[in-house]
Amino acid sequence: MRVIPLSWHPTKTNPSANPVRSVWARWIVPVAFWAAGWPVVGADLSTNANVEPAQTVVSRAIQGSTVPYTGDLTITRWSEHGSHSEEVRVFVGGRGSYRYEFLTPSGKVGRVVAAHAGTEYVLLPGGKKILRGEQGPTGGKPLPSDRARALLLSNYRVLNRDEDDVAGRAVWSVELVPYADGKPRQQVWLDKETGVILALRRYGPSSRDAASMRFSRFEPDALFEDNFFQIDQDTHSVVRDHDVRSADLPLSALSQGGRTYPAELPFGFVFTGGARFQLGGETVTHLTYTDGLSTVSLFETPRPVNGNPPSHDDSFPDFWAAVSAHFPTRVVHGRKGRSYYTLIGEGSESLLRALWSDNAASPSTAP
Amino acid sequence: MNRPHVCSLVSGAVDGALDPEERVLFDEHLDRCTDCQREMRAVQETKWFLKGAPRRSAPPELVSRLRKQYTSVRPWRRWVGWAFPVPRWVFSGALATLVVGVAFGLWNLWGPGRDQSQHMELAPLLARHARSSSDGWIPAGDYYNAGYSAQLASYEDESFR
Repeated sequence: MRVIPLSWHPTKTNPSANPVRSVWARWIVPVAFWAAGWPVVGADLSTNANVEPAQTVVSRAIQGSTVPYTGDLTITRWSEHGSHSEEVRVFVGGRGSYRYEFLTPSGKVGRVVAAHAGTEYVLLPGGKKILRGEQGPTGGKPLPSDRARALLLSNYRVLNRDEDDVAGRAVWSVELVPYADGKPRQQVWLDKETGVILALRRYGPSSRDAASMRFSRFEPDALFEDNFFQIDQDTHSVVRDHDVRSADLPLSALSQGGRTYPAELPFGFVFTGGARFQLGGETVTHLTYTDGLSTVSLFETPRPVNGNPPSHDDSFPDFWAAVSAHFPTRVVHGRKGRSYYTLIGEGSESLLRALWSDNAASPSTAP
Repeated sequence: MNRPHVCSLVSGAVDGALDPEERVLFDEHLDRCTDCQREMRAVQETKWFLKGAPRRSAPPELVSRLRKQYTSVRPWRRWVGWAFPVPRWVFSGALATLVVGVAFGLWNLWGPGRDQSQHMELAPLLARHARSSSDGWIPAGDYYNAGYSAQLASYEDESFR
């Protein structure tokens, strides 16, 4: 908001020396400035009338949208190794049905993510290899919306940003600035009419790390055929279960044998859900924590986790380029007793190490 | 009994170590053979002489050394020897096999190139983390499942082969 001068500081000259100037200085000039200032104030107030309060925008972003839409968007990520970009065609049929087509550099469809009726499919490039899994939590998010909002507002300062338009649509824009060092800050552009997030920009703790998502075309109220979100499986298709499910088990279901896991971590992270799964014949426990925006994953394994890049893969010559399609994650390894722990998050490495220090993120054994 | 004389039996006869049949034959020969009677007497006199000679004790250190060498067997070896009456080289071979086995196990665990094979892969954990990030109220780490699906495609593609 602009600062409007509404006060007048009289000069230090002796008023009795020039009574006319004194009256002028005391009354006429201030009144004139006061009167001249009103249009400016009025303009500012009229502008404020069009700026949605930042926290209301956050609430709308959390509330989400049920409007079906289609559009084209670009995901870009910058890092010290360069930049990586990926174009996506998006089809969303309201809650629970979606189809994301990730395009190759030539514009052809590469891999596809599609979900319908609780099942999510990931079609690998070529379309013959299909990974099938459980759809994300569409009915209920890890945290209730009001708690997620309160958590976010307690960990981030919400700032109004200048209005902008994205893909020719009027948007509100807010910036989420973390109170704690080492967390990413994020700017969100929200469609005024539908509440759909049309652009995101995320800045890492390092100035070299950033990622953005931005629609170049957005069409709400799209109509889809009944079977649009279903996957065509011909006789040549090979379907496998990928077993990557949402971490939605409560702490009580994970604690066993007198072992308890922390419900909260430093820097405002709270437990949102967990999972237990088999990996290479070993049981792995996965716990997730959020501060309302960022997610931190804690994995407990019976063997140490390889922190190096996986072996070369012909289907993805540059594995880390493919991985870097989302915001860069950092990995910290630890050990306590006979178990190994891997902490993964988008914050700085020092933040993750601080989460691990003093065994804040490690489980304890009940006496 | 004609020559050859059974002189070889004289010592056994003096010691009373002949079996009954040998004793009968020896006595019949002794009644007729003066040479054997003379030798019999000589052997008996020698034995009596030795029996009457004064005795001397062995030096204590010699007794101790001999006792330690021949009678000092540890209880566990006595038990093992009783339970498994096997030659001594078997124990040596078992010990050598044990050493080689332990060395092979250590090499298998921490030898060159072995540490990586004992580790679990990071990629599946990254995929699960990305999945959790995409489940948030406001998309943060993973936009439209881009990273999650890319990671899945990367490491799961191998499993179809």
